[in-house]
Amino acid sequence: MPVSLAILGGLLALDATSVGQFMISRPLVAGTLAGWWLGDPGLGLEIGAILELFYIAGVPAGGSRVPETAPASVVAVAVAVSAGGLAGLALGLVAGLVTSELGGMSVGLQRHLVGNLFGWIEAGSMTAPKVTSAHLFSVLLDFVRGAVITAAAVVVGSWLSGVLVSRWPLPHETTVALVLVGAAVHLGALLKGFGGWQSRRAVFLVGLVAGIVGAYL
Amino acid sequence: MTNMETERPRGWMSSFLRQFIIQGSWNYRSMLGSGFSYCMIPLLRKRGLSGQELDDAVRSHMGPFNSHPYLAGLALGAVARMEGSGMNAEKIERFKRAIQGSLGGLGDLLIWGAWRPATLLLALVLVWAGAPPWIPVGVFLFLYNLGHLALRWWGYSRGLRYGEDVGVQLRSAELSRLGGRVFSGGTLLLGILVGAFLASRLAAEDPGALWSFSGIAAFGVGLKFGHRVLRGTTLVVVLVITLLTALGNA
Repeated sequence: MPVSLAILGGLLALDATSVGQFMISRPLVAGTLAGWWLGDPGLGLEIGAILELFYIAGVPAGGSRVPETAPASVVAVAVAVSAGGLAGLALGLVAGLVTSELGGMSVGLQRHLVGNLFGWIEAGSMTAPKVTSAHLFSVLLDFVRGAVITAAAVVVGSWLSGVLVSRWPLPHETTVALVLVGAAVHLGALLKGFGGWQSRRAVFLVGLVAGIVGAYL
Repeated sequence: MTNMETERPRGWMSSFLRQFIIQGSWNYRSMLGSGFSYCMIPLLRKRGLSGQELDDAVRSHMGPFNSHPYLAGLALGAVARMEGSGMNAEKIERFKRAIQGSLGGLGDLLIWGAWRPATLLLALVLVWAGAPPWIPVGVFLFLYNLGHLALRWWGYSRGLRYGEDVGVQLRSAELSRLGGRVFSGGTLLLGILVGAFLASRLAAEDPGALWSFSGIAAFGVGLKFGHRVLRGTTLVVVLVITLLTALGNA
């Protein structure tokens, strides 16, 4: 199973930067796809949606280092399925959040490597076929990087969750509430990104009331 | 409008399709420069360049260049037209340097800052409403990519049509104003989502209200400090879950 998950993680990782940016790399999509792959799309959607709350406010401006969400979402769902029970959600989310940071670091490393590759090509006899080959090789490198990150994190995460699964003390509802409190910081930052309280409060409050009414209906 | 202004150069479709992997070799040295050069190759070949001439032309596009990926096609189209009209490499390089800031800033604001979170929020509201998995995912991918593909096509075709004058088109399109409208829609959806979370927590069994007040405080922290606290928050969540697991049932 780690091999097929690694391929899935590698393919989804490509979407984040190298190929298309159709946003199948977003946690909501990647998590659901991983859940479907593992036979539990509902759990995949739940974990993907919660992870999405943690990344929705992020803006990858100017090539800044950002957490990598696609392999992280695959890993989160795989660990949650592997752990199962009450601990699955908590341990899966931790695995996903940690993997996203490690993935972000590996993207930075890859960008340095690709820069060196093109520097080497430019220093020598640079031809159009060499540029084409180096460009396509860089895409392949991104796939391999995503696949390796996914495979390594699934193996380590599943082993750790197997050891820790019986120790998780909170029920499912409380676990979700705890994680949503953390996600609320990101939602606050998103409102700031949308223009802030001063300029958006009227629209936000209309939505807030609609959400509360909708929840009670 | 003359034929020269409306005619597309040979190789334009291949170049347009290549822009979907323009970021394939994104690096800290030239950023999108190598990808830009890769996308130019079909256009240069169709202009009849080969051998040393082609290699020199490819090298001339390898310099540092950065842009939002969806709007990079605008520069690509414009440069294709400028090359076709025989403009010299120095002028083209100056054009690329001049326009890249606008393309990056506008794309970050319009797509990463507004369109993507707004469409994701719609999907998350559908998740909260209990829709089956394929509905929120399908709605998000369809709606988001409708805007994504429209912007890619708009940018590339405008670039091809207006060449070095495409900056005027970019300003007159008022994409920033469009971004403002998306911000409003996103804010409404954000309010709905937060309201739904609050109501469901308050309605939950004890200590539901405690979680709701904690959530409001956390939201306030995010609103006050913005992006500066996002990584720290993620770290705190990881630490809290790790600590609870360590101290939990043996």
